[in-house]
Amino acid sequence: MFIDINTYTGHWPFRNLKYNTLSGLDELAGRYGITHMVVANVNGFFYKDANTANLELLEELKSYTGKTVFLPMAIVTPTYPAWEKDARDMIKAGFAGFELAPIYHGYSLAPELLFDEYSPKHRALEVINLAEELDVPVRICAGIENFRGRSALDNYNNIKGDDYFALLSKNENVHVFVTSFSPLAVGEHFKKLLETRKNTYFDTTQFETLGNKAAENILKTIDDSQLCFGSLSPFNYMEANLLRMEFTPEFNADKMKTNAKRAFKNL
Amino acid sequence: MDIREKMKLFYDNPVISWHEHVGALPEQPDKLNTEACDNQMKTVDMLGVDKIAASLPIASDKHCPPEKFIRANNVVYQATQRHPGKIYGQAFVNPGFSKESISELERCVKELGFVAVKLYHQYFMDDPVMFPLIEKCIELDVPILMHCAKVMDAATRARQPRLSNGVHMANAARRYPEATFIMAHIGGGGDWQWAIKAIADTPNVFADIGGSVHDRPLIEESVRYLGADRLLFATDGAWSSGVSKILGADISDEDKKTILSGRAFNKYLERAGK
Repeated sequence: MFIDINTYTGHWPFRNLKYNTLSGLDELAGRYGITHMVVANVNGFFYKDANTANLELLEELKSYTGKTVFLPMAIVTPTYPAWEKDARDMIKAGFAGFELAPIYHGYSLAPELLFDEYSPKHRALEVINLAEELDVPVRICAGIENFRGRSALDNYNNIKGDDYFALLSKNENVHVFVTSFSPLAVGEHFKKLLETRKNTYFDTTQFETLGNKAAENILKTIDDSQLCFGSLSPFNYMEANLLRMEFTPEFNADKMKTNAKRAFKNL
Repeated sequence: MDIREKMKLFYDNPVISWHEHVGALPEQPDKLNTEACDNQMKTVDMLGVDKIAASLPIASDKHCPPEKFIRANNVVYQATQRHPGKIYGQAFVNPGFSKESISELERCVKELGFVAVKLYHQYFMDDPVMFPLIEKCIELDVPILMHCAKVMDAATRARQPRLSNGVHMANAARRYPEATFIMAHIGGGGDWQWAIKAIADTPNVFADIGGSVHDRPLIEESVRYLGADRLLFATDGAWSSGVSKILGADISDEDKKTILSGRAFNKYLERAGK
């Protein structure tokens, strides 16, 4: 078993993508023996009603005939009407978990008061709690492109370690993939939480580990049961994270390939 | 296929990186950090990289005075002596000190055997203050590696207000068609599509592929606009990122070998080796 926790289908408004379909990802996976890919349809980051992107992915899954097993994550926008019904329906339809993209949907991982409301709400926590009830994992995307090269329309505030802490400290039971976020940037509170919240997983997409001490420092924050292989395909060349996994002396490649298995009940 | 098997491309072919760095000891800026340097060379060997060209630019000082860049170049020289035939020096200067930067470049090339000049964000590439230095590079026949990025974020712009991008490179290259320019790290974090399109029509601007960004299809697009023979392998310290761009790109093996070997630039290394 070899699981890639960080892949997407769909279109990216700011540059052309290749391999951005299930069959395209399957082709990439086949190059290196990746057996499973955790995937979401990135169109849902931009649709106001993200669930329509989940339906697109569902349709694509029906006609997919490749070898790689996809673990589809339903993008949930907890600020949108009927999000809970949609989320439940998607799990019933075969989705393996939920995906949050707060930077693209205009809400915080922490409690907040939006302009047309009477009192603050902790919307992201409502999704986490629903995931606990349904026994599925959640993936939280910290962003796609490097901040220095983003389009002017892709200009969000980065999620901070304290934002993750505000959410994940409120429910420690759900398996959560914190993708495209460096464990070196977790901050004091999140770092402390990670000492006990071992069902929080990271990938290596945001840091170089060859020729430096990053791996040594990362393993002071998380242990090797929390580090997973993630490629951010098809946005990135997946070989960078394969090299990090295989050539970083401190990393255990076999564990990185399979650690994510714990999060999926039927895997 | 295992990634290690795919690395045969690196192990079985000449690989030169044209954009790397060495460092000084924090408390002794005139001394090479030998531990870091040796560790880097272990990574170089592990990845099948045969030779690197390295510099020590002073990024923190926009007004970097001659004593600092001379000291930095002496540290680079220590690295070339510690790993002869593996590390080649690139001279860092601040062209704002015109006379001193030219004499330092001359010292580095003629006495220390350096193979290029490395410029940072002290001035734009097409600023007239650069012209005497460019003319000296033409005379000495050394390429000019310029720190570049078309950055979109305010913080980097504020930190590096004179950060060159492809447009500045193309302007300088048109003024000096006999000079050889290298636009640094197209994977360095800025808008790489901007970068390669800006220099596409100036054949004396090459580009190194270094930097931590390995967006697909950065290499395919670079080959399409520039051709493989105008691309130079480099990592700028982002080793897995740099290597992955070559391994993962949907281009021919021949083009990959062309980029890895930096054939057009071998004459500089050969001259330094004599």
